[in-house]
Amino acid sequence: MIGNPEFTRNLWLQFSWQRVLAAVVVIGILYYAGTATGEFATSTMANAGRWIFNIIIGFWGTRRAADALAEEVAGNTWETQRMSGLSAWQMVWGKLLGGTAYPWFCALLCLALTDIVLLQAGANASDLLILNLDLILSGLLAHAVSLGVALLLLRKAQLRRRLMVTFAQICGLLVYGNTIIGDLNNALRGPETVVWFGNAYHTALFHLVSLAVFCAWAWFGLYRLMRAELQYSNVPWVWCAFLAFAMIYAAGLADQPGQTIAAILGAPVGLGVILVYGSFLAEPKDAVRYRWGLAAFRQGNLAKALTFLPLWLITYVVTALLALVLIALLPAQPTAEIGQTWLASWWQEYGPHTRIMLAAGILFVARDLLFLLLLNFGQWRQRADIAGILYLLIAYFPLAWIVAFVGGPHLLSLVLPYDSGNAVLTFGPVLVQVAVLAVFVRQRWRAQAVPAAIAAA
Amino acid sequence: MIDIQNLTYDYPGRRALDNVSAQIAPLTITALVGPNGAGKSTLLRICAALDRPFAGSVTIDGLDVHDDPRAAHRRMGFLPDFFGLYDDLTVQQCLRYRAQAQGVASSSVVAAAQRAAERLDLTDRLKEKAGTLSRGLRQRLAIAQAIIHDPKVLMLDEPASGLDPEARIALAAVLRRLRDDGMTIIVSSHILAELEDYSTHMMIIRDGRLVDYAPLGQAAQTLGRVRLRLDLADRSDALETALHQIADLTIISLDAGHAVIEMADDSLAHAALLKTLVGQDFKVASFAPDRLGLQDAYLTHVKSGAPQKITAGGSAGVSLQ
Repeated sequence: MIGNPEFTRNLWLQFSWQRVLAAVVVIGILYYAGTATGEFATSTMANAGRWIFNIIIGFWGTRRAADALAEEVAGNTWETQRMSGLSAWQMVWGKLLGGTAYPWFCALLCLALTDIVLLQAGANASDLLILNLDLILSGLLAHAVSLGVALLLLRKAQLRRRLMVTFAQICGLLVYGNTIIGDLNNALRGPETVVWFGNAYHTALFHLVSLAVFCAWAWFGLYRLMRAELQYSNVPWVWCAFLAFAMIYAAGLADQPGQTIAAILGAPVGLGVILVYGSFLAEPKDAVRYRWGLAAFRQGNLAKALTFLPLWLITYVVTALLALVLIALLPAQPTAEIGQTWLASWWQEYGPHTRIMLAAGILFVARDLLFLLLLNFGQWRQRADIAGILYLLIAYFPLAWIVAFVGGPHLLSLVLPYDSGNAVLTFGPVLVQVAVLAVFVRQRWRAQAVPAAIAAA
Repeated sequence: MIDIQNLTYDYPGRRALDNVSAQIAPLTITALVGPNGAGKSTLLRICAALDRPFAGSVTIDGLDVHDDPRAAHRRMGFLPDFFGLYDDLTVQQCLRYRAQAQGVASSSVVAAAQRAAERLDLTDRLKEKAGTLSRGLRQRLAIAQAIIHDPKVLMLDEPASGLDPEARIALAAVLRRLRDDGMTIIVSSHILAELEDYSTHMMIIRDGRLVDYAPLGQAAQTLGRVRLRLDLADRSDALETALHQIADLTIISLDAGHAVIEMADDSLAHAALLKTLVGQDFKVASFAPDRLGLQDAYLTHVKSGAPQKITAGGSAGVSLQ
C-alpha cells in the first residue's frame, strides 16, 4: 500500500470486513436515529457528531498512536523493526496513520455525516471546510505528540509500563483538548482578529495556520526522534530552528500595539524557561554519551561533538542570552513605556526588582538543572526526574514559605529568585548552590567512568 | 566479509567492549561464546547497527554499518535473543511484510516469501497465524524473516534457547544449509554443545575483550600445540606410566584403552612417540589428531589466563599473535 509496508501491516491488523461493517452500521444507526425522528435540532446533531469525533480522535486515537510503538516494545518486535530497511520517515507516517487508521475511519465517518446534516441545513461550506481542517489537524498534532512522547519514553527505557503509555496518551489528549478549546473560543468570539507582530489576522484562519505549522513541526520532530532511534546521528539544527520559531511566534503574540521591545522580549524568555525544563525532562541524561561528546570535542571533531550536545543545554544558553538582553533593555526605574500587558502589572509590583530577579532566575534555573543532573547520575536514575521535580517543588513552595515565615522575606533568596536589596544576599546563596552542585555533579560523573575513559575525558 | 576494528563501548561505570578487533571470513559460521555479561550481545548489537560504539567501526562487505544503518540492514539479518512476531498475522503476511520492509522489490515479494518459507520448511504453515505456532516453528519463522532478503551476513543471538532437542538439531541443519547457500553467520550462545554442531570458528569474548578467534579444531594449533587421540587394541594399565615418561606431553584424558594428549605440533615428535609406544609392545590401533571440541577449546582458553591480541590475516581469515 503506497509503498509503505509499515502502513500496510497496520491496515492488515486493524481492518477486517467485520470491523469495517461494524463501524458503518453503528454510526449509520446513530445518524439515522438522530435524523429520521426529527426530534433533534441541526445544531444538536452537529454538536453530537463533533463530540463523537473528538472522543474518538482525542481518547482512542491518542491511545492508538502511543500503542503503535508501545505494542512493538511489549511484543519484542521493535528490535526487528529497527533492523528493517524502512526509513525513519516511513516508520513515522506508517505508525502515525497506520496505527490510528481505524479510529480515523470511524471519526471521519462521523464528521462526514455531520457535514451532510449541516450542509442540508444551509451551513456555509467554506466555514465547514475550515472547521474540518482544524479538527483533522488537531488530531494529527495530538497523535504526533502521543507517539513522540512514547518515543522519548522509549529512549529513557520507560515505555514498558502501561502507566507510561497512558502518560503518552494523556500528553496527546491535553494537546487535543487545548486545540479544541481554541476552536470553541473562536466560535464564541466570532469574527474577532488576532494581532501578531502588530498585524491583525482573522482568528479562525490564524488558528488554522498556526495549527498546521505546529503540526508540521511535530511531525518533523517525530522524524528526527525516529532517526535517533534508528542510530542515525542528528546535529541539533532542527531543535535550534524550532527554538527560534517558537520564540519568534511567542514574541509575535506579545507584540501588541503600544508595547516596548522589552515587553515583547519577555514572552520568548518565559517560553525559553519552559522549554529548558521540558527538553531536560524529555532527554535521557546519559553520562556515557556526554563523555563521548566531550571526547569528540577534545579531538576537534566538532560535527560529531554536536550530535551529542544536549538540547536542554542549547535551550538554556539561548534563554540566558535573551534574558541578559532583556535585562539590558529594561529601564532601571518604573516608566510608562513598559506597556499594558501582564508585564505591566508585574512591573507595578516588582518593577525595580525585575532586572535583579531575572538575573537570579537564570542562576536558579542552572541550579535546578545541576540538581536534576546530580540525581540522574546517581543510582536511581530511572526515577531521578520525578524525584527531582518533587524536591524542587518542595523547595520553591513550602520551603520558601517556611523560610519567609521563620527568617523573614530577605532570606527568600536562599530558595528562590528574590531581590533582598543586597547583592551578596541576593546572588550569594544561589551562586554557592550552583558551585557546590557543580562539584557534586562532576564527582558523580567521574565515578561512572571506567578508568580508561576518565583518562580520556 | 565482516571487519571489526577497535570497537569500544561503555555502560555507566563499566567498559562493555574494550578495543575489539577481528576479521570474519566469508562463508563461515562463527560461534560467539563467553560467560554471561562478557559483551557478546553488545558486540552483536553494535555489528547489527542497533547501538553505536564509542570508538571503532564495523564494516560489512565494504559498508560501514554506522554510516548508513538502513543500507547495512538490507545486507544483513539479525535475530535478537528475545524476538517477537506479529501473532495476529499469518505466516505469509509476516514474511511478505518483512520482505517489503527489507526493501525487496514489489515484484519479488511473493517469491521471496515463498523461498524463505521453503528454506525453513514452513510452506505448509503459510496460512496459519503466527500466534498459533509452536516455539520451534516460531523460531523458524523468525529466522525466515531475518533471511528473507537473502542477506550476506546473518547474526543470531541465543537462537536455540527454549528449543527442544529435535528443534535444535533442525536449527543446526538450517544454519549449515544457509552457510552453504552463501551466508556468513555469527551465532552467540552460552550453550556450547549446540554450537559445536555447526560452527566453523569460535570467537571467545571475556570482560569485553576478545580472547580468541580461530577455526575450530585448530585452536590448540594456534598455540603451537596439537591434540592427539590414541586408541589401543588391548587395554593396558601401563599406558599411563609410559605416557608420563614422555617429555613435553600433557595428558588431557586417559583410561586403559584410550588417551587424549596434547603435545608440540611437530610430526617428528609424534613419530617418535608412536615408535616408543610400539616399542613398548602397546597394541596401538589408532593415533591421530583429535578434533578439539568447542567446549574443550573454550575451556582451554578461558583457563589459559590473560587475553591475547587478535589481528586479521591467514588463509582462514584469522590468526593469533
